[in-house]
Amino acid sequence: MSAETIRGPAVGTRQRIPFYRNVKTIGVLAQAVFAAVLVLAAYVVYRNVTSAMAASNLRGDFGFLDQRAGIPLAESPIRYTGENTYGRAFLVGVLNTLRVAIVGVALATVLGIAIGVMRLSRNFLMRAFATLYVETLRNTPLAVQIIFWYTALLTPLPPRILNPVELPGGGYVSNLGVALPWPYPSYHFGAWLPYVIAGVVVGAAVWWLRRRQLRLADRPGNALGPGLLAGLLVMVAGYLAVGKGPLPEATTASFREASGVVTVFRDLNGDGVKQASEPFVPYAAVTARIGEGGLQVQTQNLVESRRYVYGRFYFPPLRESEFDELEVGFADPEDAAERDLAIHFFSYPSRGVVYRDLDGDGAWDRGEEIDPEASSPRGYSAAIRLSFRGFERTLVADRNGEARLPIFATDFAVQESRGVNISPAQLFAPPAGGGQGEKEPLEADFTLLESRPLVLSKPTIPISKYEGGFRLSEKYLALLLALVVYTASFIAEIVRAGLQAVPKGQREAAKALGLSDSQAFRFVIFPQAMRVILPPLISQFLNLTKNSSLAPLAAYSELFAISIIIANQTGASVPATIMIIAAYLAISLVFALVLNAVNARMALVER
Amino acid sequence: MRRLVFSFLLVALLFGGAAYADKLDDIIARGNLVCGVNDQLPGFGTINAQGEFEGFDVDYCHAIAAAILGDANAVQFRALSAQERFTAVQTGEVDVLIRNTTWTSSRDTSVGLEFAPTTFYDGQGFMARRDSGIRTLQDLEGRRICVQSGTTTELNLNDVLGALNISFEPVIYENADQLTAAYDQGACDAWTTDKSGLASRLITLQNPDDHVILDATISKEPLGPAVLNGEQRLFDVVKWVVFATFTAEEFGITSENVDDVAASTTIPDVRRMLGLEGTNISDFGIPADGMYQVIKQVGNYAEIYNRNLGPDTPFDIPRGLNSPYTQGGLQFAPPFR
Repeated sequence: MSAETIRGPAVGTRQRIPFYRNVKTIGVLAQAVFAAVLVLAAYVVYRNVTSAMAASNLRGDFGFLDQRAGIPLAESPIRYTGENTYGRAFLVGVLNTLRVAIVGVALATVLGIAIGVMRLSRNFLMRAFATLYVETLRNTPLAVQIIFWYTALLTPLPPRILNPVELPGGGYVSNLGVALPWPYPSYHFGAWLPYVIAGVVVGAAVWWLRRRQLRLADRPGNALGPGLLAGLLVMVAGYLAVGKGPLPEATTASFREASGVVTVFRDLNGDGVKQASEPFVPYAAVTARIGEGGLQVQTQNLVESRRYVYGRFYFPPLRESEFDELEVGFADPEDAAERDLAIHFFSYPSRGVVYRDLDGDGAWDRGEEIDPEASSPRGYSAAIRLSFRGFERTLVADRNGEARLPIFATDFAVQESRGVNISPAQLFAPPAGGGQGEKEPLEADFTLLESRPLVLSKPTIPISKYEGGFRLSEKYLALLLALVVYTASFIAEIVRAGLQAVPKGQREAAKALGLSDSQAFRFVIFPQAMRVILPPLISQFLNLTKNSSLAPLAAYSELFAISIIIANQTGASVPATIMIIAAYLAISLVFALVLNAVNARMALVER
Repeated sequence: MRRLVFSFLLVALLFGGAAYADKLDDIIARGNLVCGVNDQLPGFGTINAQGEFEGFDVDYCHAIAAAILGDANAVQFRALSAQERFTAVQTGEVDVLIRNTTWTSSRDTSVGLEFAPTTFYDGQGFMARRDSGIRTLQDLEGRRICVQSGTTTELNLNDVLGALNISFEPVIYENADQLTAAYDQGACDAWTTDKSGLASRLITLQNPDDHVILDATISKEPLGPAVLNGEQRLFDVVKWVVFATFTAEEFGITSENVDDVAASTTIPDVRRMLGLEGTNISDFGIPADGMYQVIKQVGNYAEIYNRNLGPDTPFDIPRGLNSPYTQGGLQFAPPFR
């Protein structure tokens, strides 16, 4: 009973607290108010935007995405022509951004780590170089660096496209970038596919079993090697077993002489002409044989590899061995004889120089190619003609079933007069008869080759650009180089900070255990440094991705550049801006998500 | 990055409910005309050694300012890239766009512009190195062609070469200076733009004699001033300033003899244009001597043309379609009545 008399804070009895003093209620209310303010603000912004857009005639809908774009784009990882839609053009932009961002991130990381480690090296020269690298590149604007790589380095200095540096194995380097031989899946790839899948499964199984075995035996060892080896063995065995497969039914090659384009397709109706409904056969190998023909070029004066060269002529890179019979000479021999001109070859038959043998020694000497009578230094102007009998080359068609030969002709008189002047009104009218002149067709013959699941496509240069192989344009390379070199300078500093954050005692302890310097670095220092390095590294990756929007400086067509073109051609600047923001946001978020997962795995687990 | 500025302007639009006033009144109240021009096209719009804008398009900016404000120099120029120009008009950043802009139907409708009469009839052409052997459109097969992005030029290039079944590789630049530099260094085999642009750029190349302009013309490019859709009063003024320059040439009125003509002429059309009779000019909402000031301070069409593109300039572009209708050209003005 005495308990009743005790006065004090109500224990057990529920005293009503006013709702505005209830922490829980206040919390909920505050959230609700905040949300309401947000929604209201969003609504006001939206209303303002739409009314302001309406007032200034800005377009707000996304209907343009389905319209025919009609804009030419320089490079695309997927099939794109001007006939495709703005939506597809935008997609090309996104893919081109990813192409730069993913490769850029990988290369910048490798370079950054190397430079970061070098900054702590005990070798003075390495340390000094790394410091110089970081301080120079980190303190120069990226835009300047892109322009530098593109304008100052890639465009004027290296060899011209028609006079490229040949890489061993069949690649080329020139002012238009790099082209490399590349294996592509042929029409026969499907037969090999089961073996590839089997290889992956077997490899994974071997890896898993080996790892389990090692764990149970509590032994150190590598399970990845045996796994990879087993997988590869299965694939290679399958590749050999599958061998060459017959071509799809009715596969034919058609040839358009005016452009030198060979099209490989399935001629279902047997008329020898590619119809829209007849499918391409991608990556098919075809041997082209041209009976008789020729090529004609003009001598040129141009800057090449840092110096001005005069009176040079270049045929598309051709090999003497590709011809049965070959003759290179002046298109107008009488005129050349009158002017006392001669030809000197640097590389028969593709390139050479026209000169006048001033000292009469029967050979070209430096300086003899410059016309002494011209007011400014110039080479002799002449037309050079290559005539041949029996040209043979094996080509691999691209993903659109197209391969290209140099544009050979039979009759040059016709070729010179074939041009017709075109005025806008005549343009879309049916082509008038005549005009083109009668012309003897080339004697062309094509043999399609059966191929293995993979077919090696070697780059060629039939006209003044690369065909076939794997191509990295000079624009892509300039942007990639600038982004990698620039971002690596930041990554290097992050790596250095991370390494310095590992206590000195760790290295000493590793030494005490008898680990060598490199072992201590690999197994003790670096894994611990990684934990410090990774979070800031992620933001550098995102920076690189976003910085790729400076691409227009290198004439590279990525997300930003293409979106701006779309905005300009359709007048839909606001929707295009929204698309740009959404695309970068999506790319960055996916990047961050993946990397944060990696980071979570790496981070110290605190217990 | 002027584009950025426009993005910010867009953001500013979010919060400013943009008090709407008639553009012509705005210009008069402000005391100057904001004119969007090119700064990279010698002959049409460029910055000279004294740091001043000059060119054919620039002179039309002066003419409009003279008509509205009585002072040809009351102009504020904004140099715009091909990409920026439409946003600049749409957002009201510039009053008039005179930047060698082609009049097309979609620019009238979806872009929301209003085009004044064509001041320069142009057509798209190609330039190639003389020693490349390119002389006709067919020779462009498989070649690399430089083109400026965000222009009608790139659309024409795609459509016309596509229709002729000529495949080519585009090399795209957003900046005309960068494009010509790249072409000069051999980054592409040919480049394409309006023929007037080719002619004006030719003289800036390292060695102009090494290049040829192909005969083929692949498009119609009527270039003229444009204002924002809905600015009817300003549009009327711009339209009739252009007509005044045509009319003045037709009647032989120049900046030198305009005072004498005004004192002596009895031709009613001319008297009305010069504001000597009727309210034809003040009805536009500009001073009655507006068109007189245009001719006095800037000149007639022939004077503007010859000063910037004529035989005494390095460009020497033939008048061709840009002659008055009396001489077989297309420049024709309705009467001042």
